[in-house]
Amino acid sequence: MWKIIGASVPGTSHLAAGRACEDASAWHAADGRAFLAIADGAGSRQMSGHGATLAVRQALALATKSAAGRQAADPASQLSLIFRAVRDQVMALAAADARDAGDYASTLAVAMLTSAAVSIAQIGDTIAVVGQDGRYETVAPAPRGEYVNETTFLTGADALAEIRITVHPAAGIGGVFLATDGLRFKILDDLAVSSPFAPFFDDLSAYVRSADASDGTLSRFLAGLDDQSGDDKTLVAAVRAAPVLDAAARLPG
Amino acid sequence: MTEFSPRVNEANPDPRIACALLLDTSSSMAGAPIDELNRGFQLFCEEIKKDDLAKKRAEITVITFGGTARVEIPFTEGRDLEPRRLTASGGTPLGAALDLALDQLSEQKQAYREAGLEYYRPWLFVLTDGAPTDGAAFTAAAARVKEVEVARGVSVFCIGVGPDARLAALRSLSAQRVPVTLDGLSFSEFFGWLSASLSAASASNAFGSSDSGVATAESAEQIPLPPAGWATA
Repeated sequence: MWKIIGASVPGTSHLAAGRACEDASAWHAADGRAFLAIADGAGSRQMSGHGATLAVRQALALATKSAAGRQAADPASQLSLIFRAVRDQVMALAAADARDAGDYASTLAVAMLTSAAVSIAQIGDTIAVVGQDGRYETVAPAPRGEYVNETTFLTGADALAEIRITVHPAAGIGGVFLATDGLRFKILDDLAVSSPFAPFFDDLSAYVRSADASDGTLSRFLAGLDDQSGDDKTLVAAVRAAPVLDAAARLPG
Repeated sequence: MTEFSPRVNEANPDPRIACALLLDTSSSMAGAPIDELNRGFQLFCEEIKKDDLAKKRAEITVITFGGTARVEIPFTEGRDLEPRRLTASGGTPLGAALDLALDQLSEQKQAYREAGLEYYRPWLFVLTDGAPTDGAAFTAAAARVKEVEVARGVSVFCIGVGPDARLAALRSLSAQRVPVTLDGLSFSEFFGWLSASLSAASASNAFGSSDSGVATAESAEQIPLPPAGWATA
């Protein structure tokens, strides 16, 4: 079973500029499965906060529906279809509002956690980390550097060709964490290669497992964090509940 | 309610704003002008250290052009910046100084990228009281400056000092910002403004991991520079 907490908070520079939080997040757990979605609305675009909110809502709804359907469908194809459908919906919203689709630009990361696999799809500079007990890995970090395309957005022309999808066997994974790039300075170890800062993820995992872990406390932590970026911050953490020990094995001989 | 205060990475370096100061130290600056310039720069070294963000985000290089163009102070973080006594002599090889500055800025950006550091669009300031004496070199360098500016690789600020400053030459350095004239010898006011401006820039979110990334970030957030009280209308 997965236990999940998450929060999105506005960044200090967004607050100073009188802008609302343009990050969005959503998650859902049922029947041993869990679905997480985060998005970061492009700071320069007018409706990007709406785009981000729509993207996570639709992604979550489609992922939940998709998982309830044909079990045989492979998760990578499911995620690919979900991103295509979410993109279509954001484009349709833009068209209905008679606006440029780019006004709704956002990044998007979606994680599907089933008994078989942990599958993650990303567009743009989202941060996805998996692991446990001091061993964490950043999954398919966004390419960086002068000659690489800067952040790509869901509404971009080539977005569907630039989705980064990874599928891990579920067995070895104790925690799945999605974050927006506003947290990069604090939760990554080496910015150049996007490696995770393991102590943070250890502490976060322990907290999520604790009995009174709450979204509110996570939100206050994020709001109070001196993040060096001034950007909006989103974190969604899914951790397996403490493994249930086999009662029979503990009976004295 | 359980408190949540996880260990976070406190060691990741802040984004950098590289600032190249091209200071005219030709013979015509001798006397009161060079004294005021020195006084102003000393004040700047003190002021920049007072801003928590600017002192670690701003990196300043001083390039002088008096007789020859040379790097007087290589890129140094604000917190480590120390004044150096400048003296006035020789001609005004502004073209050579501009070439040197562009090379330094380009190397600095490359170093940032290799270190995984993010950066703001660099600033290039030119302060001169005369006309460039390296004609052809100046013309070529000016074209190069404009090219980098158009590619959004640098922000150019030109300041004429005194009545003999050739503003027409300075005008050829930037298509985006007209040169201004320093009010008398108010170098101290200028450097106070520069420190405040670097503070404002450092507190903004207008940085990225490449020139195009910086441009995107800038389109989301204008850096509010304080009014330039040191310039004449």
